[in-house]
Amino acid sequence: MARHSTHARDAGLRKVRATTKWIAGGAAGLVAVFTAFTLPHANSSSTTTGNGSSTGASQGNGFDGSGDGSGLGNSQNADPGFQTPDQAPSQSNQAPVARSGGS
Amino acid sequence: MSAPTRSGGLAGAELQALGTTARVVVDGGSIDDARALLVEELDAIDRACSRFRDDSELMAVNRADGRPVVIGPVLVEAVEVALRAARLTEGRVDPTVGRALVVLGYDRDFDELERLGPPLVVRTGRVPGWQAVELDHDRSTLRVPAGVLLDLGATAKALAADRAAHRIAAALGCGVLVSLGGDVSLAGPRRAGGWPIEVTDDHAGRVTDPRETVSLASGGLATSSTTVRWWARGDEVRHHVVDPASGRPADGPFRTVSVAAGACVDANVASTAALVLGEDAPRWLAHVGLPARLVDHDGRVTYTGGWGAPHTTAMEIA
Repeated sequence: MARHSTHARDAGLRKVRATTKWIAGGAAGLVAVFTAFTLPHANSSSTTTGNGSSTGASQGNGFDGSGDGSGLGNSQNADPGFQTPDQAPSQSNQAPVARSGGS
Repeated sequence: MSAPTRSGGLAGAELQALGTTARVVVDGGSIDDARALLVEELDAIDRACSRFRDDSELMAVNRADGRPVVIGPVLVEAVEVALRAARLTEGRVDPTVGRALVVLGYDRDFDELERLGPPLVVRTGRVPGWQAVELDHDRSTLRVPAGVLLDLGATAKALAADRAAHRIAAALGCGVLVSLGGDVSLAGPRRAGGWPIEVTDDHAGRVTDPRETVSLASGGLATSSTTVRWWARGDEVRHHVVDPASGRPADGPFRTVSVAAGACVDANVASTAALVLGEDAPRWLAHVGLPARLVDHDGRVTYTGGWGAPHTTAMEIA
């Protein structure tokens, strides 16, 4: 009787071990498949939202904002900021060819 | 569309588009070819970005009730530019002001708007914010939450000026000036002595406005003003430059701001942000390195960022 119980117990344990192996292997396989599918998409994602700039940084207006009193520009990111002109406008005596005003 | 004009190697043409006056001037190239290219560009921008055309891509997005909408490359670029403007100005220039403009009464093409009307009580508040805009480059889709209305008025016209000027210069190989409602973009070979441009409150030019003529070598020059696109409901005068923080027209000390930058769209973003910023605008413009001319409600002019001021009225902000 005791021998029969031991055999039954050992057979049960073998089944549990086999089942555990299948579950672990299957889970590892699923993780691998999931990773292979999602990683390229994660790397190439190019959605722009207002949070924008993905890292949550929000500026890039060309100065650190210290002491200007405007409250603008206290954070930084990779945005190069405004494109400044090569030359500032200078007074002219020529007849204008266009007009800049509100519209 | 007016007949082309010619003067000293320059040829110019004007037409009505995007609810305003469009002008192209070429230095040595064919004005007919330039005008044809300008018309194409303006049509592309209008079909993509107009808030007043039922068939525009922008209106399809505004009507999509929160669903993503596939859009074309012109609107992709226009929204990228609008979101960049919002980042650069920390939301002072925000494309989600569309609902606020409608609530304030600017709900149709400005030429069709009643300038004077009975009192209208409205509830306004902070606009939804550019953070709500989702532009998916891979799928070329744009989504905004249900109820949010995009308005690209603060950037699309200047973007159109830049696109048109560079396209015409590339095609014709000459110096080009494009002005859309006073937002001016230069492209192509530089012109000796620069391009003389009159700067004033209203691009349509009332003779009583304070004005001056400046020479610009390259890049862009834009003017934003509260004196032109205004309407009144009862005793309350409203205009189209909305402060996103309040959802109401900006009410700072300046009525008109002109800015020069490396591109017209940057000049226009900065001039609009300056009206919203109010009294801090001159110092902010100086810090970002953009030459500017600011006119307050009494007509006093302030210069900043190296703008060459006339000797009589100069007040330079360091």
